[in-house]
Amino acid sequence: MSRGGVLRLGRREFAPSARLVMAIVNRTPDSFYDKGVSWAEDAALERVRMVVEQGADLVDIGGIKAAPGAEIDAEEEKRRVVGFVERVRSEHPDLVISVDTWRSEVARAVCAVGADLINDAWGGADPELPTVAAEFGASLVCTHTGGVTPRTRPHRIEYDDVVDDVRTSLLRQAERAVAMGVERERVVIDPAHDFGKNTWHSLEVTRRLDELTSLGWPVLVSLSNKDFVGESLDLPVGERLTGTLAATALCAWHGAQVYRVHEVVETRQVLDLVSVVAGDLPPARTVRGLA
Amino acid sequence: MSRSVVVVPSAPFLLPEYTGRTDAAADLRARAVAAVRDAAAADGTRGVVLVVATDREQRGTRPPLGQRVGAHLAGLAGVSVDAVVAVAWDAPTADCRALGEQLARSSAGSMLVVVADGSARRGEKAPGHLDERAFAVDDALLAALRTADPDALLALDPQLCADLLVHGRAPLQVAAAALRGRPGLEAVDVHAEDPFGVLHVVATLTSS
Repeated sequence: MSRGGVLRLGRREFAPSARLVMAIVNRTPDSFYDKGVSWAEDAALERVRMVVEQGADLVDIGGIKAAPGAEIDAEEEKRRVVGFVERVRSEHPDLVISVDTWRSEVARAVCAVGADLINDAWGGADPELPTVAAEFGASLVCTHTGGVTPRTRPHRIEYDDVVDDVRTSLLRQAERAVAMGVERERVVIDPAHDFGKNTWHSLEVTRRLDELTSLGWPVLVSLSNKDFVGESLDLPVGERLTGTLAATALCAWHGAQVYRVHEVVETRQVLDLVSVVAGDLPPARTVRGLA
Repeated sequence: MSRSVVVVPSAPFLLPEYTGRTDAAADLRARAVAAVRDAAAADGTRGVVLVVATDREQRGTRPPLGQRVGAHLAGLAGVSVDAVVAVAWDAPTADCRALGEQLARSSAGSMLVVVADGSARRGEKAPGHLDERAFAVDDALLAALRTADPDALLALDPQLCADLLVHGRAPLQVAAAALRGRPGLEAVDVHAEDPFGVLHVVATLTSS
């Protein structure tokens, strides 16, 4: 089993063997899975309280859905997330807070009110993002999108070797972030399933994830209820949890460290089971045959 | 001259390698360690002789679980293991008696730590499932300890104990034979519990 690296998020440090649950908290009215359930700020705060209670290690707050849709400018994005991050930070002083944004302007605003991690889900579309992370001592997720424009769907994209493209892109972004002043142990790499990838690509990335976890950087995977799971099993959104958890187990076995998810309890159980099998975590309690 | 005999369980979950994130044996281990430590302190001794049974389900080549558990508990109690007497778990009483008499001669004055359990058939969920006969046999075993009666321990029936998965009969009989004739033998404390269908005993006996 390969391993990522030591990971630092906020004031916390995690071993390469750690498997962390990053709970998705959408400040959007239209995200594909929850369809606006935490659009209202109070509902979103309630969701944060719930996922923390359920054992999430960090939350990922986003103000714009990934899929194409109504244009959300930086001002509106900030209206959706900045005050909210401030409230979450105030209510949960020790919680690791990630914000899903590709805009350095938004990143700067959320870091100023306590965000610990910038989840650049669109692969460095804004080249200034690492500067902001460096300035605030924040962590940064670098993602592979194949260079597509934010909020576009992949259409007829091919790679000679998708994993090679992912590896090359992520290493370049990660080293660039470090060169721009982001602490090495605060850089996370994410192959970004389904971003700039069809189902075949996402499956290959999953199958060969060890080629990424062996690079020495902590690896984040975002699998939750995505289309590659749906197309693999011919299941619509809402019926993809089992498939998501199976993919989660495979990535966990390959050594991914952070899991961006909708369902915290189920993911926590899968990750703990994999950690126990891998010998990274003792079982909860053992008596059978031993009393 | 050490005067104490301590009985401790041989349950593998007392060992660190079998402990989960929540330690199901924490209280039992603490009680056993305290018993060994207190007895050694009272006797003014730093070393003990372990009396253990071989494994009933021997598969590999490691020393018997009873020996490993006893050594671990002794280590936690801060005493060394000077010698180990390992008796076949199903040894005939005559063999136990002979071994005990030999032990009385070779290790006279040593503190004994007997690693021994009662029946593993004390409930529907017990390792050996429920056998109602277990309670009477365990009661007899505990009564023998509480009255510090070596002859009562030597009277335990090997076949019945084997049927009931009593893992401590043979080492207790070895110890009983070693203790026979010690003046003023009495029980200081006898604790028994069976939360997992196995009778675990922590007992301290002393002589004058």
